[in-house]
Amino acid sequence: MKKFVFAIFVLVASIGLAGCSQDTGDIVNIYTDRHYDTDQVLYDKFTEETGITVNVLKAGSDELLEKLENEGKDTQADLLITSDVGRLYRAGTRGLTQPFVSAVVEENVPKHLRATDNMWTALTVRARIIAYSLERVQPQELSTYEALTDPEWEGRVLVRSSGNIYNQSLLASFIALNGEEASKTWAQGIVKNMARSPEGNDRDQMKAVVAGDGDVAIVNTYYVGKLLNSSDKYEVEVGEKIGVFFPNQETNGTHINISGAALTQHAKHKEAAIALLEFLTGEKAQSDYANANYEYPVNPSVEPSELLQSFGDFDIQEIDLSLLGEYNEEAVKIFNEIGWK
Amino acid sequence: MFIKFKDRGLSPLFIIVSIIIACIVLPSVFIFVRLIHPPTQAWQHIKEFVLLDYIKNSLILVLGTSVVAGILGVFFAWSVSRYSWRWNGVLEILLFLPMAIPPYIAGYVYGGIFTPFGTLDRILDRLNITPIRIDILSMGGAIFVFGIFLMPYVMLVTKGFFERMPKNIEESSLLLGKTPTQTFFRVILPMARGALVGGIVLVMLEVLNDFGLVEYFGIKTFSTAIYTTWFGLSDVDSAIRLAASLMSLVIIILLIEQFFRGRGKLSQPRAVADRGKKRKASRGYTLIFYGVTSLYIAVAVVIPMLQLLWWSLIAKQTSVMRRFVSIMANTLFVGVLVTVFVIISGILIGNLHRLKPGFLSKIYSRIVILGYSIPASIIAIAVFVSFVALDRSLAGIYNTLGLKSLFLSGSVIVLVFALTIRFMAIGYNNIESGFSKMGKNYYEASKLLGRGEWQTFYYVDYPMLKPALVSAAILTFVDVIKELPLTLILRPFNFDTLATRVFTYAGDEMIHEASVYSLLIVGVSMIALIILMRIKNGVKHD
Repeated sequence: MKKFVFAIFVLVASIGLAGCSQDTGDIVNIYTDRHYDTDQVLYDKFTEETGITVNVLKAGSDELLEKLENEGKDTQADLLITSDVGRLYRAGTRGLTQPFVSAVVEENVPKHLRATDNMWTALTVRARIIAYSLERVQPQELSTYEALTDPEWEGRVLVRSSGNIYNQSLLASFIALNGEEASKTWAQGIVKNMARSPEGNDRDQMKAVVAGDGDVAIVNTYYVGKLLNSSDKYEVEVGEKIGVFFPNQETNGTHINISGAALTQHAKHKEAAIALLEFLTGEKAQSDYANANYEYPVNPSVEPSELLQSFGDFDIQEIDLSLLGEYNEEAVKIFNEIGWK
Repeated sequence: MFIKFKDRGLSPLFIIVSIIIACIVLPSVFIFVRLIHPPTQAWQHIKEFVLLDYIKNSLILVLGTSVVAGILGVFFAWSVSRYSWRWNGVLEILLFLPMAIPPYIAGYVYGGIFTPFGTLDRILDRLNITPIRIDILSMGGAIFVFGIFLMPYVMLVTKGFFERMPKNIEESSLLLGKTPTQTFFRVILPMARGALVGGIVLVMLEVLNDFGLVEYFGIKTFSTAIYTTWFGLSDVDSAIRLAASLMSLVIIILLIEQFFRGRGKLSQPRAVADRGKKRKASRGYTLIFYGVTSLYIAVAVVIPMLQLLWWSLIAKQTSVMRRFVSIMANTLFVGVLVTVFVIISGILIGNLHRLKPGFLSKIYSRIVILGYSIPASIIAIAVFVSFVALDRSLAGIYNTLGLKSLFLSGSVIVLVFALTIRFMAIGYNNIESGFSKMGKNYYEASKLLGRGEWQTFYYVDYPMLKPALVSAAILTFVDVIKELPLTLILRPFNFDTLATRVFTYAGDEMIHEASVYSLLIVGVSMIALIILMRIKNGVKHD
């Protein structure tokens, strides 16, 4: 029996100790919803260069916001990184982030990829494009997101469920550009033209296009890159049978979303955090992002990877990206109302 | 001193149990406090457009899964406990193994097999057969996956019942002229309904709480609703309202279980000694059994394992195994610790329930299940909020000790705590049934003969309780290893477990990389299952 009691004591003591991590030296603590191994490699490089330790907590962005809010002034997080601008905006409106000024970041990142109030900066860009079957669709047939609601596309459009943030941001951008009614009509039109009820992820949509379940899919450029560079040769074949079309080039541009970062309201390692932001938007890190993860760099002096260049140049949607956050809730409601699963 | 306490009904046991119960109740209090807030505009919107669908889908999913898991579970439990088969032991372990594969991983696996350019397509392509399209990412597919992979929960519980059932009941029925089939459906099955419902309840709770699979399959259920409401509409209050509806649904299910269990108890046999030897099955039954079993094992063990293995092999190995040792250590650390806590608390509560079967202890033993009925994401926030409050009130002490301001909530303690209250129900159900079979006689005899509480527990109760404890440990450990939402949000910085790695890769559509860690989860769970099954079987044959 004594052994048993002793074992319990040791267990309890060990969790107590596990809870104590010392807070010495230069560190920066990150809450992030980006979970790529390439990000960790970048953080490691930063540590190597500056001697600043980077601690990471990865979870869903919304859960992280909730955590940040509850921790209040006691939070350990210095930086919030999310792969959607809407969440950065929301963090700002909830008073969880603070503006930051850095000449280096300003030089690295063009103005339209930073918050007007200096609340966040973009780190990478992805475009939500129309992926089409090279066999059955001519690029001339494609023009805008709006045109996908035309009768000729009935039963041919593939897109994932509305619970996905990329779709929410896309619709939010339409609300910002065209107003609520037009956006609702668009969403209804897409639902009417869907090849099947939404299921699976972005890669699944493209596979379904190549399999002939539908002819076009609304997906992120980033996932086209993932397919073409997959370790599975069948996925590479799927990628090769997919065409990339940047919609709305004649009108208001292709919808983009960003991964971005913001300084938390109660950041305790402000300088280290800003140093990390300067590093991540700098040329070296940007070219890593661009080459390893098939995302567009935000730093104009860094060329996109060869693959992304092969997709061609495109004009982006000219809206204040914060609006994607502002209209997110509206977008979710529209999806619910019109029954986009 | 203890006697004084006891006179006032305040035994140390009672006090400790009350503290444990208070901890379990914590998240529920959080929910009810938030429910007082008036409904928001978003709630109106949810009620108008989506609530009905959510309810309908959740019910179809839960009922469909229960039917599949129930039929399969009873069939296997009965066959294995009544008849002797070749390689009995191996068969039993194989039938339990699917439990080690989390439904969300199984969902990805079957998605990967049946979607366009999936494994099936490739095999048919090699054989020059035109591909067939099976829409696995659908309600039917979800019921299939849940039913297959949650079956062991039903089997574990009903098998225990069948094994304890005296043979003479079956024999009487046969003597009185009923055929074996009639005997099974008219006599045995009605008697087993308590156990069966108990197993099915576990399945239902697992299904209602799942998020990963229904998200990927595009099925709108309560748990997806809670997520979109909370995060999409950033409306915590409505999300909690939804969670509360889910809780009431679960409580209704539990009341139904109690009802069946209560009635079942009347006829539940006590004698174990005359269980009789296992029989040889008839030719026809043998054929059916081997047919169904091999099909099941193929679908639930062999195919998914092969698929995961193949995916792991083509995963880019660049940084997949980064920090592997610490990930493994974290996973085992949390798994073992939570299992130990669940078992200890379960023993304490169960013992109180047995020794002092009063009103309060009865309520206590029901409350235990609360943690399992609350959606994990809500528990996470509730526990977190409570720990932050605790931390703030301890700020003075932290200052003197030189600790960080959110010492507890920023450490792994909060995670272990939350996981313990979440999985208490799973462990406790088994422990309680163990206690209820034992009764008080041996305990009282030991006390009369002058043994103390601890000694009585160690020498008398513990050996009898061991099989129940082992079952409880299996279920808890495997569930903790698989757990996702709580671990994801409550873990400290740089703290990865196998499950969080699966999530982060799968969430990024990197299924090959994710499957490396899925295989590890399955592997660890399998080893645990096998070890514990051996302990349990060892006990049985003693």
